[in-house]
Amino acid sequence: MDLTIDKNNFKIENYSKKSIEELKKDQKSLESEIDNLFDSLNELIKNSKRSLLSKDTQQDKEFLIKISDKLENKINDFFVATYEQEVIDELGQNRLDVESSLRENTGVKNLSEYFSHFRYTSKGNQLFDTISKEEIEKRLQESNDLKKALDVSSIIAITDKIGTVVYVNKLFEEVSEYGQVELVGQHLSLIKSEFHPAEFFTYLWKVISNGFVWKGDIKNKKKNGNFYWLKTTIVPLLGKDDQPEQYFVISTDITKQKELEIKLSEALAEIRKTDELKNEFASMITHELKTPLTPIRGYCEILKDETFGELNKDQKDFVNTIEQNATRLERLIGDVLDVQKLDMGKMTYNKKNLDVNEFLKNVEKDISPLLKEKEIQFSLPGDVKINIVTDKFRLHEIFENLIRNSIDFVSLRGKISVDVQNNKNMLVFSVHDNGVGIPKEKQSNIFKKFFQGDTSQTRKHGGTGLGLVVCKGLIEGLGGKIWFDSQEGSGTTFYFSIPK
Amino acid sequence: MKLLIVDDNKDITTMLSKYLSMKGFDCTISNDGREGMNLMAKGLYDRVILDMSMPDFGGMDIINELEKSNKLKDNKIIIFTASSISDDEVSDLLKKDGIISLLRKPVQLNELLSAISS
Repeated sequence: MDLTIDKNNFKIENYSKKSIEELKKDQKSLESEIDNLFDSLNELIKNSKRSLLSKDTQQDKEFLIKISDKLENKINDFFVATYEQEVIDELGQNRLDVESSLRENTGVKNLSEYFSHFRYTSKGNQLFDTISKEEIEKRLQESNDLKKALDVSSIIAITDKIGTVVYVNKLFEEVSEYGQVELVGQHLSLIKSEFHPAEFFTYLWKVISNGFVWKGDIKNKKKNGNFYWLKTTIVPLLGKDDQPEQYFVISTDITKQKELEIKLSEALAEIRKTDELKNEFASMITHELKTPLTPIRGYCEILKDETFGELNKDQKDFVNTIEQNATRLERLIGDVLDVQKLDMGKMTYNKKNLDVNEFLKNVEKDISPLLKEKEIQFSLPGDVKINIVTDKFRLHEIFENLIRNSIDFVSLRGKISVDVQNNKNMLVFSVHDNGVGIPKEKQSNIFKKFFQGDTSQTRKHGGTGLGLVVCKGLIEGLGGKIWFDSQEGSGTTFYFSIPK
Repeated sequence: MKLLIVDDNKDITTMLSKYLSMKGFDCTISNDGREGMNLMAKGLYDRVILDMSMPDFGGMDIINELEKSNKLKDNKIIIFTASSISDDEVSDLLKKDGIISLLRKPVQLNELLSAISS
């Protein structure tokens, strides 16, 4: 059976701003409206040949429960949503009258419970809809347990809305070294360390006074003047008007972590400083090493030029040896500097359009004195009609290193050939030689610093042991890869890709 | 052709002046940055070979001072340096009116010769 309650018989307004007298008046009219409602209900029930007061049959019970639910909701809306707690207290006896008359007339059994729920919360309507008295007690118990757990695990203070301490727990006393008596009634700023700027607290207050939770690390001062760090959460406890009335300050002591953090950042700063020194040292050493090489190389050139007199064969050989060693030193300095730049990620690339054909011819021209010395048969690919965008000087450095490497490891009149393959997005260059090859067991190490296939070869072959390291770094820096194929005794081919 | 060589390293200035004199240039040497700058300010030289790293008053100081007094453009400077200068710094230097080229030590003398002649 459906039951419809006419809204006109049950006017509900917002009473929150009305005076108690008005509310009393309103309650009277509500009571009479409820009476009217029951009359209508009884009328309805009579019409359907049922008696509201006969509660014998199961059907009647169900019907009454249905009515009581609907009534409860309405009354709930009326009282809870509009009356302040003090207004309810003011109503006193009247409220009980309403309660008993409703119970008498409807058999609503949990009406008294409803009123006790009402006392628990100013937002009783929400609770009333879903929570029973037992549930509330259970929740209160849980909340007490939580409070106890929090009390033993965290440093807690409660302040009023201007920050005056109203409660501190034992842990708070321990960490601050102030007793409860010294703290309660004082402003919490008593423990301020003056470490944080004024804006820090201005912002904190802005957050919490607007009802938001604030989280952060605060450095405080103990009674004895020592400092300590707290990781703190401040929870505003909102009053009826949704404005913070109290602040719940929950903290954990992180002094040790903070001390470690500070030590760590000091250590990091020290490392950075060392890095800077290393950089300065590298650039200083480069300058200091290159400067004396300038007159050495210069005088070799002047002597070979024979403007100051002709040299005999022995003298020429001596000058050549001096010059070759000066050149080797110069290369070593250059390689060390490059490796350092690559390690630091400070290598810069200046990419421009490059004609591969012209570029390879220039490489051959620059390296030809070395090729001639060993009478090497050198070959370039036929006309390559490709342009790529890359760093010309770095690519030149890569080729020079790889070809020098090959020259070092081929015998007199050996063969070196450069080739290029045009793949999708990449050009794959190769430098092939028919030299001694790299022993299999050494192949995995060749891109490591100061490594040569055979350490005894270092002297014999005058390499720096850094050439391939530099090549790998530069190729990867340009966006490509390097790999190789080598047969001991028959030769090595280095391949590398460069994006077009 | 009149050349001014400004470098604090005497071995380098002697070597360069011996070589370049033999090649027919009229060389003046300065082993001090301030003295070198005063000579450059007179604008008497066809080319200046200028070292960057010198004690107290280096090549960069000279360039900055001459730029302030608007005398940099009266020179044709070949920077001759052992310092590691980045590509960006090189291109910034070469943009300046009065600096014609930059060579890194140790350079081959014939390269220096062609830089002077160009």
